[in-house]
Amino acid sequence: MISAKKVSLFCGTGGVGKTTLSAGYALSLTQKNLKVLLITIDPSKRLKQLLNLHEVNGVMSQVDTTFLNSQNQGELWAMCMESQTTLQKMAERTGKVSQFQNSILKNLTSKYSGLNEILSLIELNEKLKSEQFDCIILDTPPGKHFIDFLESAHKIHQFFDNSFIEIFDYLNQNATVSPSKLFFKKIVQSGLTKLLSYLEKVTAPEFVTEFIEAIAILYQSKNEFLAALVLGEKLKDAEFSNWFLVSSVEQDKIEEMLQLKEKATPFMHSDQYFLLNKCLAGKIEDWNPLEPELIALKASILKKEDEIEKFSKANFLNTIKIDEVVAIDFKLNEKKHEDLKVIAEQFLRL
Amino acid sequence: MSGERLHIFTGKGGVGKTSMAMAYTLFLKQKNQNVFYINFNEENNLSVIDELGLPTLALNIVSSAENYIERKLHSKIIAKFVMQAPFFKALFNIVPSLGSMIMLGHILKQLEEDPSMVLVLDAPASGHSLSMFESSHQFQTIFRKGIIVDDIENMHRYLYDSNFCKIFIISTVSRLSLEEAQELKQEMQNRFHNIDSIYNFSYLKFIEKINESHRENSTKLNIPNLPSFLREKINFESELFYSLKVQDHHIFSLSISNRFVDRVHDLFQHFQLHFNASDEI
Repeated sequence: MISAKKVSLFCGTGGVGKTTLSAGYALSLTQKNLKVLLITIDPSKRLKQLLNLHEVNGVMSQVDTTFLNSQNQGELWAMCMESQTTLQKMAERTGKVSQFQNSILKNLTSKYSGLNEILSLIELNEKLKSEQFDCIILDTPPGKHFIDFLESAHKIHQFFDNSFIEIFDYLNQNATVSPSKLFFKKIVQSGLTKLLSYLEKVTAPEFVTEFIEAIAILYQSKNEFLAALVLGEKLKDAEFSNWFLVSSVEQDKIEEMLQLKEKATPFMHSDQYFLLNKCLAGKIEDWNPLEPELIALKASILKKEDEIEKFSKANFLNTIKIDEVVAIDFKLNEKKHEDLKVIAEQFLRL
Repeated sequence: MSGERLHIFTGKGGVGKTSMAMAYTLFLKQKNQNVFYINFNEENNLSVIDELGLPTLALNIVSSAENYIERKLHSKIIAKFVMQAPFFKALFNIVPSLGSMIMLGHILKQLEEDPSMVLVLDAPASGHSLSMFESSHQFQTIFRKGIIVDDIENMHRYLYDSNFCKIFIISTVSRLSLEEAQELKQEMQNRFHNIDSIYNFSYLKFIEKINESHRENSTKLNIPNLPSFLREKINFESELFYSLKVQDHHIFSLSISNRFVDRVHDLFQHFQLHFNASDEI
């Protein structure tokens, strides 16, 4: 029995089924009459096709769950994280929307900019504060990008802390002044002069001014980054969060999984679930092939599955096997949710 | 022999990009090309590289950036100073695309300097690959003009030249992976004009191979005797390859070798058998 927590995070290497399992788990929670929000951070956004989402990125939309044919009162909402929208909402909260028009910020938060990981803790924090949902489920990006996500608040905090402390002291005292060349003068007095003069040599002069402006603008939302740091701490509380580490039997990425676990350990609590996805053993136990190649195929599937199961039992407290669901025909839209339904049922049986 | 000098392997996570890129490197090496394998994202698995005898170039963001600054400002000392400043370290941390662009630039620089060199790039998964290729366009807009922008434009000239750079989009034969591969191809076609799709882990191919080896005694496999999940997969695959008009040599069989290194060898064999001579282009 997995008890529903405020936040659940699905993480793992690429292609193991994080998005599918997080959607299946979210559906299983709606069967318990909970109101659930599912957020995906991965820029490839498989969630959209999985749930037939039509909303633009960065916006929540309610998922039609009638395919479950159940009487439950739960609700499933979903959204694809988009850094530009998150930044826009930050701007609205500071009340200085026009300043956020800075071209560097706009560029760096455009589609495929790679800032999703950094800004998603802020997004999560906002959604928690809104108190609209019983549970929020996070589908995180694969491998090293998951670590980027975990370290995001810390990295931003470090950036503010180490680099610009003088400038920001100045900014705090002059909060009403809009970012302008004035700040640049202040920076010139600090140790950064040299660095920025190099930058000016190799770019257009406007770039340096705009760059400083961009940092000054972000600094106005410093408290939100600090709050994200606090949230990061809360994720280590077993009462508050569930951590699901996902792997799949079709890949032997045991080494990568161990590395990932090691790097992520400082950010998690130890009561984790290891989800072993795409298990086939149950489906081929009764199969007795005669051809040597097929005998080898069966043996190889069983061996792999056995090895990875042993590994997970040795390294994780709770191991859960999820059976492979073969999508029967992807052209038939009405069957599209069949796989999710089966996975949700598997979660409910736990 | 085709003349592309940069071969980029991308696709959804878990489709076998790394083993495919390694096998392709071995294939080009065997054709006597001066080829190197580069992993863009992860740390190299040294024992695998050793065992395969894989020629590699190890690049990392800090040294690539240092190298770039040194060339631009004509000073090793300044380059070191800049990269050690806490501000720059922190900047690279929060703006990952800056590092991606610099690495990509460094890769192209190496190719420019050594005209005999050929590189195989094991790129990040789809979304993060798009981020990597988008990064230089973002900074082109951000920096506006100056020598960095000149260098970015030079990068693009190489990258989008279809005689220079070739993209392989790898996919397995599953719904999610295929749809992701199709979207990725659409996005990439805006800029790249030499893109091939490759299908990996095919059960159909696996069964076909068994049938081929049994051809002499004409005992074809009895498909209905296969377990249902296998039959479903095989039917799904044959319909799909037919509807997408996939070229047969772009379909790679599932490999049941137990070790990673052996699976790379299986893929290498496929390249050798089916990608030689002119059909590679």
